[in-house]
Amino acid sequence: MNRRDLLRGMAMSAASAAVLGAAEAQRNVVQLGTSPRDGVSWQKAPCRFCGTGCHVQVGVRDRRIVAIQGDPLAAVNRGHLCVKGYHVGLAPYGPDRLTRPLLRRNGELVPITWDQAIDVIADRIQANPAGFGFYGSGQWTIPEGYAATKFVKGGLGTNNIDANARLCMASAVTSFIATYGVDEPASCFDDFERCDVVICWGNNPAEMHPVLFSRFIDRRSRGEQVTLIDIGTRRTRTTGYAQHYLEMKPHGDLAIALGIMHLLIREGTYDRNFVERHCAFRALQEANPTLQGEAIDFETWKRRVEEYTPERVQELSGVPAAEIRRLAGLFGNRDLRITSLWCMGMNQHTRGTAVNNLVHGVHLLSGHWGREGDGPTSLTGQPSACGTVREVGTLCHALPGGGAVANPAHRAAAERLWSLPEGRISDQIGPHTMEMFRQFGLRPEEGGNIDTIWVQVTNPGQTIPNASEYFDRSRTIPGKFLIVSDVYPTLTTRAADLVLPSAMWVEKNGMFGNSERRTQQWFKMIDPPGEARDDCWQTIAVARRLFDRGHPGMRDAEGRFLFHTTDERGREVPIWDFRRYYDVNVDERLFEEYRGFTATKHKNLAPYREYVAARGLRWPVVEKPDGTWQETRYRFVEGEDPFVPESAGFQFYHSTSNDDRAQIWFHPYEPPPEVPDTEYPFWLCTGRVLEHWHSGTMTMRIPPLRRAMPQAYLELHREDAPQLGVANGDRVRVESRRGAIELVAWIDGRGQPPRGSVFVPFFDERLRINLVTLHEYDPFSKQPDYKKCAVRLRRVGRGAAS
Amino acid sequence: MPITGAVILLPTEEPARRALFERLERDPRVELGIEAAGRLALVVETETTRECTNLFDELSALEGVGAVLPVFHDFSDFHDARDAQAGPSDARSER
Ligand code: SF4
Repeated sequence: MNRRDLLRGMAMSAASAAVLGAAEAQRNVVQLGTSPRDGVSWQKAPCRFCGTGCHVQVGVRDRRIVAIQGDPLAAVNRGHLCVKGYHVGLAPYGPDRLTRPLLRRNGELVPITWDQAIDVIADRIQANPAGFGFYGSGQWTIPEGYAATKFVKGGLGTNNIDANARLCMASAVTSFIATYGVDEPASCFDDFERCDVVICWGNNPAEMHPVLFSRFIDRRSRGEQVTLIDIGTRRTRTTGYAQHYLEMKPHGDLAIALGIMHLLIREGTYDRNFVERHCAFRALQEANPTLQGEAIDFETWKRRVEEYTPERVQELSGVPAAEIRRLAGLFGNRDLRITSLWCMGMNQHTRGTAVNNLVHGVHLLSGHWGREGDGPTSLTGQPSACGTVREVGTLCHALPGGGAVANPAHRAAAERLWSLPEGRISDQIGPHTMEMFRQFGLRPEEGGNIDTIWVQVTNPGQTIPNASEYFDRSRTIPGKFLIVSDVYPTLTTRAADLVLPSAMWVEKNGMFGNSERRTQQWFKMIDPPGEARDDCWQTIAVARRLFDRGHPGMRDAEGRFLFHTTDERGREVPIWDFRRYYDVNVDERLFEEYRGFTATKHKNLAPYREYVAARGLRWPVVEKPDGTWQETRYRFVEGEDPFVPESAGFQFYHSTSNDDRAQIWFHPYEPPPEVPDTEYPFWLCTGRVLEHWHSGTMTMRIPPLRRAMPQAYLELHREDAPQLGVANGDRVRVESRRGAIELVAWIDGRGQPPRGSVFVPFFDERLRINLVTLHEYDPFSKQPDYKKCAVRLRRVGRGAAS
Repeated sequence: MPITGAVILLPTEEPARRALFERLERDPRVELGIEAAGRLALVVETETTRECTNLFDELSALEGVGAVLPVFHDFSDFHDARDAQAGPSDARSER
């Protein structure tokens, strides 16, 4: 058999396995290990891109990736991939990888050695430890995020660390905490196999989580009846699959959820039994509101939702009263199973915590909670927004395992686990992302206390809203120093003072945690190019340099290095020396240490070796009497969650009211902070596209993806276009009170915004829409709203089609 | 040439199914595999990856097609082409 025939056979075998399902997959798939027939070695890894967390098998020959197969043994994707996953093997091979550390001298980035680079960072930190901020990512692996957190919180004794997940799911976090007392979805992707109705709240999974969405479409292909309701401010690919599209005004989601609650009460169709046994009611305090809020009784809560009649909701949201009644009718029917899905639409929202709370509340009030296919599920955009940022706690208020720096018991536990002297961890919450970059853009005398930021695995130069104010400004202030670790040149590296070349994805060991609490593991398969090195090593190397210089924070209570690591004979392994970094499995060591934190909030993890064998496990993972490890599909549910006792039914054991109840919140409708007016008459919404992942750093370097979607564009309604004198392909200036860019108009394009509204994707660094967006954020989550601000439009050039 | 394995989530309506199969059967780049539970396995061999994704876009847009999901992608050609461009010594140093 020649190589071509062999490959065709493998491709057909993979497709057959995906068609026939898991049992057949066991027999039919490419076996992990090296194939004697073509010398390709296969190993498993999660996809590098989105929060769905599909598993792939990576084929490597001559130390290069030559093939990718969707992993048919992975429950998440059962062998399927989307167009990004299909190309993920090409992600490391863009022509312009960063391969050497670069330091800005006389305005130019010039090569330096790693040793010099580590010295530069250590100098900056020692000069002003309190002015140093670490800005990370939901693409950090779990060990990378853990090392960064330990370095800042346990080593430097500040909480000046935050991550880009602040920009994508912080409102989901605050809402989970406010509702259940603990973060992260209680349900999981198995819902897609069982639900009768899917409601997408401002969400476009057909493009953003395509493989997950295909699980639902797959059921329709098998002839099952599943209803899809799409609530949004713009028609998307998802709308094309929906039976009902409810077009709402921006912030209309708040009113819609309140309207459903109103009708459930008025019609008496709420689940009285579930509410009486398992729920309590809560609202914000009148003065100085907190995330905890205050308890209110059911009667008070009912009075507050009274004004949200279907007619009033129609006025506020633009969704017809009849559709609100339809939604309430569905929630009032307990024979149905309803899955609510959301992602950026509800999270990037100046009332993000509130709208998240209300959607949880709709499910709790109606008893559509805790059965397979019946519950609220929030998604994340990044592969480890959950596993790293939320679980490890790389946020300015957090500690690993769901702990909080404001909680003395959590601080004490962390100090114990890290063998730190008492009082090392600060109780002062650090600056969140927007605050960190605001301070970085101010002079010290203006309150700009942050003077150095180290960015790893993210691209704030492109993704921070109101970028000229929150990013570019700092670049004009003497004394502000930006360090960036990345794999390719980006807007952020180009603005940096020090650039560090990083290893990516399977160029290093790693672990991610996807949107359904699934922790995943992979091993290094290929070498990074040039002098690129693991981000985790970079953190440890800086910590060691500080240790060698006598920084007291880099020593534990016994005087040992903070990242002290020994071999099996107890001898210290100098993991700060990159030549020795892989002498031990640093990921495993850090993960095993991190596991010590995870029981506090019942986020228990299995030993590292279990993840080596599995295609991910959903926490809490507990050991059974027979020594095997059991994952959890549904939290707080008897028979599913190992921490819920028999006959409890449901138990919200982290309840903020300390009575095992979940909180049903009241929040009023509130309008957006900036709305169109005569000067800026259009709404602007920003987001992603199927082909490109976030700021396009990787996918814009994969030629087929770049050709498929070569540049950003402006979606415009067909009736608005002639009034502006704009035709398809014309260049249009989009301008807000903060900035302006020029884009090509696309009328009747992939998405269709309603009249008075436009959409622009953010993946294209040449067309930086975040110069235009608004920096306003949710008061609790501090997550900014990229989905709505006011702009004006002006045609500036004719396109070829005109 | 890139070789791709994929799965199509089939239309449930008979006329749409027929139209899809007719389209696939007359395409020399496509080899059909087994069909079960509303899914069809296929292998596609194209000159470029882009040509393959274009074909998937076209198939996805056909009446009733739920999705076209790639499952296997061999792109060793990509490295061969890059090596050829870079010349033998560069190609070695890249490894
Ligand atoms: S859906 Fe997300 S995780 Fe799955 S293959 Fe596509 S990009 Fe990768």
